[in-house]
Amino acid sequence: MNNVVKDSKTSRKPFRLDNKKREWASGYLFILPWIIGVCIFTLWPIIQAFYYSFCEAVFRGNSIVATFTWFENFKYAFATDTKFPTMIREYLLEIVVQVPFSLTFALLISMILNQNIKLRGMWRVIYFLPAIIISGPVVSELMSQGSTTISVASDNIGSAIVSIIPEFFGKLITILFDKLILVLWYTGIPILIFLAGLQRLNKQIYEAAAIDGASKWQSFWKITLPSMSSFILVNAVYMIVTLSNSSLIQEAASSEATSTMSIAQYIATQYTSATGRGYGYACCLGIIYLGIILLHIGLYALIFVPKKPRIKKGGR
Amino acid sequence: MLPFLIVLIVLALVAILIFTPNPIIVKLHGGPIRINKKKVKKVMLGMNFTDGLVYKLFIYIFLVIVSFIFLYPMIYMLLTSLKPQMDLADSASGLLPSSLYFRNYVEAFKQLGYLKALYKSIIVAMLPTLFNVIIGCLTAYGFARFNFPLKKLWFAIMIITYIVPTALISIPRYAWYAKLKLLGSILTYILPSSLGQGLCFALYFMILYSTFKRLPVQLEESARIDGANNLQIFFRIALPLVIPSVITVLLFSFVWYWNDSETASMYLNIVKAGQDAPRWITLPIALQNFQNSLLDRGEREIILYQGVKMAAVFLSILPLLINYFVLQRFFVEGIEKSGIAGE
Repeated sequence: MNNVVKDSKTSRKPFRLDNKKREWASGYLFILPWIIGVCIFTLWPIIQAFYYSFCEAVFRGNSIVATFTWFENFKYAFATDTKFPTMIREYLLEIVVQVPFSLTFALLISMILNQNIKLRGMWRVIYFLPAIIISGPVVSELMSQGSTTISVASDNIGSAIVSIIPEFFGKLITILFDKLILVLWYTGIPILIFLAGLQRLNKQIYEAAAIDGASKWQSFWKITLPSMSSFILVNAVYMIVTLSNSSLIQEAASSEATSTMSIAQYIATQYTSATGRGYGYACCLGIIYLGIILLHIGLYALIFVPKKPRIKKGGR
Repeated sequence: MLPFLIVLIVLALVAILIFTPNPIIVKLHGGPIRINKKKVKKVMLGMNFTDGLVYKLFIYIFLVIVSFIFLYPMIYMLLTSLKPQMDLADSASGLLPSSLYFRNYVEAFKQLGYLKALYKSIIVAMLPTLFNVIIGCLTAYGFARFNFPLKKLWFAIMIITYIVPTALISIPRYAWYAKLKLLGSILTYILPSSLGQGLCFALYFMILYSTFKRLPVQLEESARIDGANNLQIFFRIALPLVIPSVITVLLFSFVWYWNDSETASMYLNIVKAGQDAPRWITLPIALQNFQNSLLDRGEREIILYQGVKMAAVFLSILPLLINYFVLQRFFVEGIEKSGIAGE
């Protein structure tokens, strides 16, 4: 057995070089269904939406009639439309507060669960439960009953705190607490991912740091956090995408503001309902939305993309 | 209240420890008892704080409070669904029902058309899930094991498919389905998922991809030397080794399709030409329809119907709950083992 393994190792390189083309072909064969799908169902729609966002386009029967109007849609979205800019502002405020908060929370919980703790399985089951049941009608039903909010305003201590600090931060805190439970409900998967990352950390590094006189606090900032950066990035992307696609959180936000719609729903009404401005405008809003999400993810990527390792990892 | 009391008591004990001289002498009937302060301190604060009593108490109280927050909506839902109408009409009544009232469930069962919707839900969630898993495994294996030109580009595209908001993608898709007269048919689910564009596909891909990546190459190489071709290696060697991750993906995909009421109401809750009612009424849609039918009624009746509504909500997620508690090990294992962000 040992012999065979050794042989395969030594013969690997020439084998691959000789059959490079074959390897290409088999690789492409394996991912062929996905490539077809991604071209038809994702790339082409994005290109189409991009094109139509510069058009005045409406449904006529079953086909789309489009006339090219350059930046009219974009101008309308920011200058004339009364709802969309407020929605975007609310959404940005929300997500800027919620993502760091939920990531911190998830990291905290996973670090606690990673310790020697009794009933670890039970805690994990509880914290992961909401990720299973979270769903449109269920949560919106619970929300309409007011069972998902911890109201700051009704609480004496809360309102006192909010009144002391500047208005802007007060607003941020109110946003956070209004959707606290909802946001926490989404942290099930980030907690799991962090746990997986923590379990892979080498305990000996901590021991070495402790011998050198590092406190727990220092070893958290100098060891845990840097080695978790790729996990933080993945979780940040996950949270941003989930929060942007889930209409629930936004619904809760915008219901206080202008309307009871999320951005996604607002976009959908543009082309499904008679009062909307049509297909082209919907595409334009979608493109703007995509741009905002990409920018936000890019920001996290700038901070958390792992730097090139100074010491090369052996093995693999 | 209880957690706060415990915290107060612990804080008081710590304060006593700090501000009294050593040793503490407690005068009792049988004579004074000497308490060695150092020993007490060791029990309370531990050798390096994290193994002390104070720290442990603090952690467990924190965990309990957080899990209460996580469970509160569920508890609220269950309790409300068991309330008789008397309790619902009386706004002064608390969280607990005065008596258990199971008629709500009977009513909700009828209103939802439960068995039929359940059957439809299972089909609508299961079929695309199977495709997700099959295509997911193939694609992940292709990316993990083979080198081919433009691999990085395709990988980036994979990530982009995850980031693009569904709101944007669903606009052209909706137009196509309308053109092809597919709206209201389950093909709107099967077509994208059979080509790897199902719900959250990129996430499943990442789980499977990092699992395949962690398999030792030597196994496959030795099979290749023994004369196996790529397909044989994939099916006989690689696939059996990633079964836990496959199960995780299967479960997640099922759950998320089950819960996805937005896509369902967009593509499925539509009357197709030649039919008098939508064919694929899943549980979330049935629930939505039931809620909308309540909106037409008066204020008072809405309040009285709250119990039934909550019972309906509970019934619609009941299969998922059973699923979760039976198989919860698998939900967690795949993600923990593969570690999406690994290398």
